[in-house]
Amino acid sequence: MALAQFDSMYRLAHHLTGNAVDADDVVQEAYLRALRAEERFELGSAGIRPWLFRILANVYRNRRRDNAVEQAVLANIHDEMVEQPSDTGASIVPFGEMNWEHVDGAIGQAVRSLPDGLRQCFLLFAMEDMKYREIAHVLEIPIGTVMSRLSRARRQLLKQLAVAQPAGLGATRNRGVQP
Amino acid sequence: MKNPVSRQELIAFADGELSGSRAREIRTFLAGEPLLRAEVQQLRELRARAAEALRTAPSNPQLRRRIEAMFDQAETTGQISSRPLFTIRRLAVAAVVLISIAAGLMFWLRQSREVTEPMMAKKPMGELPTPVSGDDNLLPEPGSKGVTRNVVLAATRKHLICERMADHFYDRRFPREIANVPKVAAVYLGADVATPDLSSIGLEFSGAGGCSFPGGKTLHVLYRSKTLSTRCVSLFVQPFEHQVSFDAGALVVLAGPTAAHPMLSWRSDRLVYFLIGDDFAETRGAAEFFGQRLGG
Repeated sequence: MALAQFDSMYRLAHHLTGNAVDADDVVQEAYLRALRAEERFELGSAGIRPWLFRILANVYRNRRRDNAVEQAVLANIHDEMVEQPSDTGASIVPFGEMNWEHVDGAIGQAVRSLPDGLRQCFLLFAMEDMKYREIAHVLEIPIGTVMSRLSRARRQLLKQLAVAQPAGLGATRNRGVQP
Repeated sequence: MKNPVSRQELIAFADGELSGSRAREIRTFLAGEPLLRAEVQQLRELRARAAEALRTAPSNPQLRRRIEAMFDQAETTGQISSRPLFTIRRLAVAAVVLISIAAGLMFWLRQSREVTEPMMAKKPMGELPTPVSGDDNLLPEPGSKGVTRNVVLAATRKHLICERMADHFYDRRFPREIANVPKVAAVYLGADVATPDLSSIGLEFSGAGGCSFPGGKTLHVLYRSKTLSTRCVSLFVQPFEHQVSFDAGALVVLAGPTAAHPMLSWRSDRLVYFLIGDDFAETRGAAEFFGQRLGG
């Protein structure tokens, strides 16, 4: 049952960490923890998925905390490195020259550039098709925070994707929608 | 109609989060609001497009198989762990006794060797193969011997991080006993691996654990200088999956004597080794021990 979620788990880990090596570690560690905690798990109506994703989110959070220390060390040893590998990123399509048919390639990059908290929320929402309450359970945050993060994530994504909103968010406030 | 729907509700509606009756009310309201309908459509479009783009992330069938094996193993272990507690206690006591005996034996052997071979360095375990590459520096082009420049740099980075972070070796991710390495590493490394004693060249075992080295499935074994805490030798071990193109038995110099952090690599039929240090002679000296003890 748990292994049926492997592809989803790996996909999420890959998007969270941004590379296959760390994704491997996160998924392995998550399954290891799940195995150890197996006896404490009670299968409810939501199934095993939110439980597994919650473990994975915790593993990822812990690794980020550890990596923050690593990064601090890295800053000190930077000069000793022969050179740094360069990152290549997809370019964002300029504002006004884009429609939905042409943003697909840029979406992944735009999502990766989101702050971590917003990215986790959005990935669970869009990629895993989770409901607000499921996301709240996985990330251990209130539903209001989920909604707030999703709203901010989408604002940032739309901005990055330079999606024209001439008749969108700003205009609607005078058309019957409370801010 | 004035202010019939809050902004949060509109977004929740777009996300399919509202109950049937409220959703119907908003749908009716939106029928006369083309701009709001467009906004709802935009939110849904973004979600759908993102889902499509993001779901194309790669999977990892090998990792899946390893986890399956881990689950299978756990089923067996589960039967063992369900035994009465006293059985576990007896096993624990037996383990302590065995470890004590082994430690005593090792101490006695070391003492007797010091008596018979005073001031002599430990002999190498065998001849090393001749280096394949004569480069003094990093391999110039990606793909040389199957090892890219980024792999060399990533290894250097990992080596330096672990070298500078003594605390790194006290947590469960990096146990100070090789017998306690994570199960995921032990799966391919095997349970009968001995840690070579490098004390004769001034290095002592510092810790070993899973590592996010390029390629994954890596065990990082680290030795630290007994006299200089910032000097280390790192060994990264991976299962051989054709990630390098050189033959088993060859010793490849990935970063030579003039590099700040020299790096050697070799492989057996089963495993690949990347050894990196802070001094070429020391690194090469360490390779002599590792090549025989882990590579056999």
